Amino acid sequence: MISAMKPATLQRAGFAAIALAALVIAERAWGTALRDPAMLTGWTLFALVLLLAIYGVKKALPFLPLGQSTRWMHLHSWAGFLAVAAYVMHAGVRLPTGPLETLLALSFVLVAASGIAGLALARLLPPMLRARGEPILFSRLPGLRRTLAERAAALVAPSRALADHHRLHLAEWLASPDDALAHLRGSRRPLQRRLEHTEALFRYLSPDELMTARSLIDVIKQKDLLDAHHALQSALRAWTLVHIPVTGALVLLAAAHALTVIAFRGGV
Amino acid sequence: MDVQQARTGITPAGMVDAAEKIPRPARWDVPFDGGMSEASVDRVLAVAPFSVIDAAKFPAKIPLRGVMTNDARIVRFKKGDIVVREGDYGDSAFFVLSGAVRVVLSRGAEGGLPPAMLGRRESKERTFVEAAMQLFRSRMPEVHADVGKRPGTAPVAVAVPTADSTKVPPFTSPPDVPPTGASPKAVVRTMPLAEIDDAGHTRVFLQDVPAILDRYRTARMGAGELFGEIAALGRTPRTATVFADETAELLEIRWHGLRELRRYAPAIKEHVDKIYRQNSLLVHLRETPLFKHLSADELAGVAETVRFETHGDFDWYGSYKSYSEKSAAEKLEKEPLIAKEGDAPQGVVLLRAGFARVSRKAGSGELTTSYLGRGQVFGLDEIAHAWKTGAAVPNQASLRALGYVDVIVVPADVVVARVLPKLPEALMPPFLAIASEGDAIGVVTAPRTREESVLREFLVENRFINGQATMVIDLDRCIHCDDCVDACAATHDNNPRFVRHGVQLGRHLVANACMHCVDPVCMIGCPTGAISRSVQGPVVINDATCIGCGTCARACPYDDIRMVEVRTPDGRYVVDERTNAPITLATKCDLCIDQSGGPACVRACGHDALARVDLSDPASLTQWLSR
Repeated sequence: MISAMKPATLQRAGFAAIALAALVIAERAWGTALRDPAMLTGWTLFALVLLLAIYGVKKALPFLPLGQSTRWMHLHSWAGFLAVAAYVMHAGVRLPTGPLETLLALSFVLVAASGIAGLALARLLPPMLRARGEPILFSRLPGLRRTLAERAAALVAPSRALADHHRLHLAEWLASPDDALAHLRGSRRPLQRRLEHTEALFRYLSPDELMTARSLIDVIKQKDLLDAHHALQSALRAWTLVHIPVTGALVLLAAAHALTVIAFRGGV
Repeated sequence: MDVQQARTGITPAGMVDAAEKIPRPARWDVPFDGGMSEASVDRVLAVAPFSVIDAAKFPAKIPLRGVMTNDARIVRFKKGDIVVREGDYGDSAFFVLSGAVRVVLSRGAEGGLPPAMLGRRESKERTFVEAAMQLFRSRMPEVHADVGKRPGTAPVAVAVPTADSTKVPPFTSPPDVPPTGASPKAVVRTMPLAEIDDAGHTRVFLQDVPAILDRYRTARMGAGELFGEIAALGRTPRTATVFADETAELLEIRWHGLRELRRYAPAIKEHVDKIYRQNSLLVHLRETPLFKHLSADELAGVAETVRFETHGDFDWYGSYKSYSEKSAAEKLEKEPLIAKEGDAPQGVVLLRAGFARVSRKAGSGELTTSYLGRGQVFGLDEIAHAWKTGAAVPNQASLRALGYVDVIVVPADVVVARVLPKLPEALMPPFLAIASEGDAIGVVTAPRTREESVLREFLVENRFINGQATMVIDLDRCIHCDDCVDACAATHDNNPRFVRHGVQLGRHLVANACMHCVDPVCMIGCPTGAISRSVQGPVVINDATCIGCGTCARACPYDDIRMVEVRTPDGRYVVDERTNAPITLATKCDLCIDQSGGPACVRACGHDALARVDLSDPASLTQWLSR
């Protein structure tokens, strides 16, 4: 796996490994010097959380000359992994106790998990989206869906058989996004099922209705494509709904935790 | 029977019956500016050098009178009116019929007229504090505080508005009052004034001509003199600003007419070629590495022998959309052949303007092996190989014009006799590995180069190689977050200057964003010079002098310029006080020329999916692909 990494990625991973090693050594040295290692790992973790949160601020101010987001993203990713390691060193692998600690741990886990999920989705989903044809802007999906639904309704209106099929099996499906999980898995089964269901009607249709039914097949394929785009693009956005707001909570809770530590620090 | 016939039941014969019958479109269906009157044509043909042109040498389909009637017009300028601006792209030349014009000889960023005086945008990179201040500006899209405050217009803030709009006089109204309502910004104070002449042409004029004459070196050109032909024929920027020194009548000849005159009137051809040889050729040859080592005399000797050729369609952008829908074979067929694979090389072809495709036979088609732009040469390798080995070598590839190409051909015997013997070894092309017909197919099937090869064909066929900062998106990395779009909006009046949509090949998407073309056809025909190439390189629009005519948006073959309705700072739409039509301005990507840190779209992409690539340079593409 390492041999498949690009040199720049290897370099960044190397820096992260060195930083982690330095933290481990410092923690040991701190303990040897009879100081509380949790203070070192705690403040390191707090600094890392602030560094990670600053990326959000950078993104919100795109007109400021603060460098390329790609570099920030690399820093964000590797600092995130480092923060997970620092958290484990700081809190250990155990269930938290007390309300503040529980909230703090929960928010950290949520932020870390959603971040890792986001990173994975950002690698996995774009090629899947590309495989579904030309890009469609997310904001245009509802309008395109509505147009398709109207087209289908207009197509089937003159045919009783097709109108019934549309009313019972297609109208609701055409009205809103569907089959999200199947599209996320890359499965074509829901589309296949709908196509087979519609094609089963062919033998009962007149030549004119048959032509209409073929147009309806096109509509079904296009709606399936819109659903795929909706599912995949929604997934690419959904994780941020957890990651960003919980990051805000995490910063506040971490600050409260730090204040508490300072307030109740005993002197020697 | 095709699908359409199957659905409608209409046979081809039936289609013909039902079709709307029109005369076949002909060349002069749309004459230049409505066409010249017979009396005007008589007047022009009585003046030298047109009076000595032998009309009998023109073919029956393209008579001299027809050229004059349809490809020329007489335009009148008042003292101070700008005729052409340094740096503009134009498709016409001017002949002084009466009066006089003045050429500004001081040139360039140092000595020429300041950009603001010519109606251009002056861009300065923001400081960090200025960049941060953008946080506090209006959240409404396309708020243009200066729109209603043009010099010469009444103060628009007091114009009685409708509930949601502000009415302003047309941007080009004559200035009958001093610019009391003008914004204190320098760009507004120094921009030229504009007006519409009796024939409906927008005229931009210089203020304080005596001061310009005092400060800048100028030369007067009187009746009988021709200017602007080199830029028009060579598709190169105008090299000087010319303005009317007194009331002047100029014959403006569009490129099509100039081409015919050059082709069928030897005197005109000699005149144009002589001017080019005198003014530009030696400089151009000197800039080419191949000729750098020659002495001044030797270079002059070579310059005497060169042939000027133009290939392709000057107005290629007009037919670009129908061209882009054709198959690869049809496209290739449409591209004029400059040199053919297998033929004996006639000389070294040096590109002066435009792009050319280098291709080799592959299967039943052609493989594009490279593309050449301004300053690059074709044919040297074969001639050098033959000179070194004594064995004649045919052209190893074909050269075809993409759009419009202007070339210089240095004859093969001149290259052999005068250039190659003095060429330093470091510049000498290596021995050719002579290819046999069909070898190229191996490149198409080789997995290592397939992606680049296919992408190169795509970029050439769609003429994206014209772009110096083309927005290319890697769809395998793009997460569709629209951070690029949001960043563009945040830095450009809350309205993004591009669409994250466009033409796709595999994982690459060429988005609808201004590519800042090598051949910026959008700049041809702008009546006020509002769209121009900035000193820094990107093509930019000056909001203060854009009159919203839409010429640039229609000319852009890639649909990368948009007309937008504008608002005042309090959110009201601005409309024309006479027609109530919305006032629109042309908008496009300016490559964040006034933002520090480079294009906001690139800076905002967190996944290395978006880049601005100089596709006119094949090496940039290779570098981006291997990132």
